[in-house]
Amino acid sequence: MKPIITLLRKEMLVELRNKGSFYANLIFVLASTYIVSLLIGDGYNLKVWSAIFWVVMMFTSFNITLNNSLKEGRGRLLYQYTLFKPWQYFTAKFLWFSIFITVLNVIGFGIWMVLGVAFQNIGLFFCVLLLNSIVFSSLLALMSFLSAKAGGGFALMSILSLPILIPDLLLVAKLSTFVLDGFAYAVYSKYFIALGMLSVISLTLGLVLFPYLWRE
Amino acid sequence: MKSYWWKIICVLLLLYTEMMGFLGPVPARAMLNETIRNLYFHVPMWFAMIALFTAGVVYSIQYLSTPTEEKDIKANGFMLVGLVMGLLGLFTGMVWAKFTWGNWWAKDPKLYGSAITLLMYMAYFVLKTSTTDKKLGAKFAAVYSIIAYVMQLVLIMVIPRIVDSLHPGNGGNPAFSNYDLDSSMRMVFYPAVIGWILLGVWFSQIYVRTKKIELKWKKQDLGL
Repeated sequence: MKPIITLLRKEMLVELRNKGSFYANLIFVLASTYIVSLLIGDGYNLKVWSAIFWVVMMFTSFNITLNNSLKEGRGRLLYQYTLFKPWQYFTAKFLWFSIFITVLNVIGFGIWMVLGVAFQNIGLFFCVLLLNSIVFSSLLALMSFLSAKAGGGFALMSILSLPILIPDLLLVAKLSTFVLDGFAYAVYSKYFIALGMLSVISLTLGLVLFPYLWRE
Repeated sequence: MKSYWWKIICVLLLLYTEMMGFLGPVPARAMLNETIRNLYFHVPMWFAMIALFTAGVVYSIQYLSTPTEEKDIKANGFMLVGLVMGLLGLFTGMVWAKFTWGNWWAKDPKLYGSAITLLMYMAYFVLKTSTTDKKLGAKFAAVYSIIAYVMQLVLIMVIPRIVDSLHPGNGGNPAFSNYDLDSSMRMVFYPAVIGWILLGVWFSQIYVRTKKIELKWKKQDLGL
């Protein structure tokens, strides 16, 4: 447990020392949400809203994870090879990304509320956000590590991650329209179960496969 | 004879499939009419794709435990032919959709799932060539192919079952076993599945052999 806390502290210190990247992500969410809300104007339904919301959140998560992985230079990685086990490193990254992604998702959602969209069942929606951040952060931790090491940058990251995230995005977009529209739980319980299973699957995939990426 | 008996079986089965598929009797069904013959070509393509991807992912897992160039080439060959089979499945499906649903493409989870699966495997080949370090690229590709395989199962098997779908066999629609009441189509369908899978394995064997020869030549040039 202690190495994970140490690694989490390191992530936080790196992030705090380089405040630019945090504010860059924040402004990305603010600006894109605001632009999108201006462009679609009034008279859209929740289906359109959830498509836009999740696409913006997906690209925000790409930015967060890829920037984080690119910062890990070769020297720092070599130093960490000697100190940590791969599953500790992965768990720390996973936790850090899920915290970061959840915070930005909540901020993005808050902006929409400020802009005056009426939502229902907000508490349950936060559960969706949380489950989604588990899927996103475990898969994107793998993919960003991979594309940073392969030197492909954002293009490779998008090519690799977009198709992989689609099962999750399909479920989450459908689920958020149901939840925020105030349907009864029985209507969408199967989507919830599927999303929970998907988050378990992606976390196991990350834990099993990361050790193979870890060492060259 | 010891090693190529299955190729003879493959040719015989596919000849039988082609003959029965184009000339044999089929049950007359509303809407479907003669397009029901596509069952022998469209559905086996997906069976073959999944079989080949499964073989590919087995070699990828083996590659991760003990990396050798041969396993990488084999995984690659199965994935490549699987991708071709998937593309053929998509095209035959589009033709079928045009003459039964009235459009080349429909907004349907099964269709999207299969299209995205093919995108994933295209990304696999992009990833493979993205690094100059061949060994690193092979390892990354092996890891990615395992994730892609799991997600493909979710996309094709799970999502269409819980979301409404037009496609037979999903979303409360009857599967093809319901259209084929007298089981006459089964007698062609199962041989067709085996035949197309064997053809895919045959193709990937040829790919693997040519790649191995190239590797040998390269090593000879380098004097290894």
